[in-house]
Amino acid sequence: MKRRRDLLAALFLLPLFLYLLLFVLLPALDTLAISLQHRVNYGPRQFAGLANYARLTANPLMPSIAGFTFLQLASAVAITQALALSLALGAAWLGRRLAHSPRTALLPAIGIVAAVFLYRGFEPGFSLTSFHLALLDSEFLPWLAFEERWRIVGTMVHWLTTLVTVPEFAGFTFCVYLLGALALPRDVLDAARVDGGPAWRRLWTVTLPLLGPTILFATVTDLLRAMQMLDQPQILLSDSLGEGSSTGLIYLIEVSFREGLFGYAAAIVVASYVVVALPAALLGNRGVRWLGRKGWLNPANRMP
Amino acid sequence: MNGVTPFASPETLRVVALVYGYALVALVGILATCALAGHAGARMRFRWRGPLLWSALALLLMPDQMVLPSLLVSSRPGASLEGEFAWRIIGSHHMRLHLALGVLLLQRCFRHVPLEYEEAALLEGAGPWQGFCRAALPPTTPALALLAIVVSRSLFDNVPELLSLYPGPEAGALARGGLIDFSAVARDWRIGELAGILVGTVPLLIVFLFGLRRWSQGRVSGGICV
Repeated sequence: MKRRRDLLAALFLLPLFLYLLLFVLLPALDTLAISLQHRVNYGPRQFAGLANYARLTANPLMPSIAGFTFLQLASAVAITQALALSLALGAAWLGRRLAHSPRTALLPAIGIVAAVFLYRGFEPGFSLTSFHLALLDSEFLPWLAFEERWRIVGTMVHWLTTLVTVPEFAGFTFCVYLLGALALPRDVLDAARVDGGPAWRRLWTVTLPLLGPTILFATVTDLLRAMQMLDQPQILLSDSLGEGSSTGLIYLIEVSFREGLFGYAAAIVVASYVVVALPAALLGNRGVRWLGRKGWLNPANRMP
Repeated sequence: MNGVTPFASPETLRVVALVYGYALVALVGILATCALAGHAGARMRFRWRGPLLWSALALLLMPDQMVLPSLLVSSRPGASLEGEFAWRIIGSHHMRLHLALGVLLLQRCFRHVPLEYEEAALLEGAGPWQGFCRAALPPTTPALALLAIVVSRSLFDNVPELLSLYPGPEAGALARGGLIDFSAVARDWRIGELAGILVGTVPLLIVFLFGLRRWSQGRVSGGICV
């Protein structure tokens, strides 16, 4: 009986794991293999051992690129999360207030449509990019010394790059949060309101803990999507801050395409993945337990 | 005449058919894979259930950079167009994110489908597969519709980019036709083109509203939840 049950589950999960094997696991292992090879411009593979990793540790640009990438990711994700969460909670609140009429039940749906089009449909990022480039090309702060101007412009470029990425992400994240907020149990929210207390306390002790898993999912997906951002940072960062001011992905593309050093590019990828994934794996379980102790994964513990 | 010219070449037709064929395979594949995996995650108890599902999620959320060098090396000059398109459509990080989202969404939805439906089907003599297809799957139609809309929109966005990979002039013209420069249109206030684009989005809006209305009617009381 148990064997039959396991076999049935394996059959149901087979397509997913087949996909993972073909499109994720094997290419990732291939990347690992390429990182141990000298591979220049589609030339023959030659085993190089850890030479690519040694070259990576000796590269003076790496700390600067890692720092810049971290700043870029952290600020983009934080702004996106705050914007999308507050918009979604507002839309869900409005939907609940107007939910007595069957027509107004469409309000959240219209919100989702707007968000999806904001996300990709009209490419708002590129319009903003053009505007920012025009600003940088103009005579900006002419009374300052050249070095001082470039330092200020550099700082601005970083934050503008971050802000440019936000509109594209906020729509999708808004959809995720809105679906999560609409699925919140109304009786729990009503009970909290009857118990009284300020709105921010209800938000902190009831709504956000109930949305905990959704927040985790949205943050992880936003982080992954922010890591894939190429167009805007590439346009804005080129020639503005110098060689070390680049995101990890831009540097990777440069190493791969301009120099054709696929082995070195693969070593950068593997090293950065290990640097990010290893602490996440070690801290992940502990972090989940900490959240559990704090009651964030079991909202009933935090009911006022 | 201009509308017909790009399709006159059999090679261009092959490229267009390839792109849309792979897109269709990706759409159907994602829906089927998410439904099967979501049902297994929600209803089945089996050995290594937790580790298997968490490792699948971790692999789906792996950054695209990890497969990028392998993709760059495999897409060398002279590589087959079929392989390139398969990678760019089915293996893209958008599809992996949609798969992760879909599995979690469907898993949540299957948990809200009353267990009695499947039990009744089994008592009537249906096998596990029939029970899944005829009792468990139909109530999740709104969630599947939502997933189909999201995936289709993502695929629709990628089609011009994929067509531009093909070096032929006809496919290039098709790609440029698809890649309308929205930002330039909006920035320069080209009202006619802007109105045309907005009118062109109406069918998509209707599909969106229809699908999401079914969702918001509460036929499935699930949310997106890990």
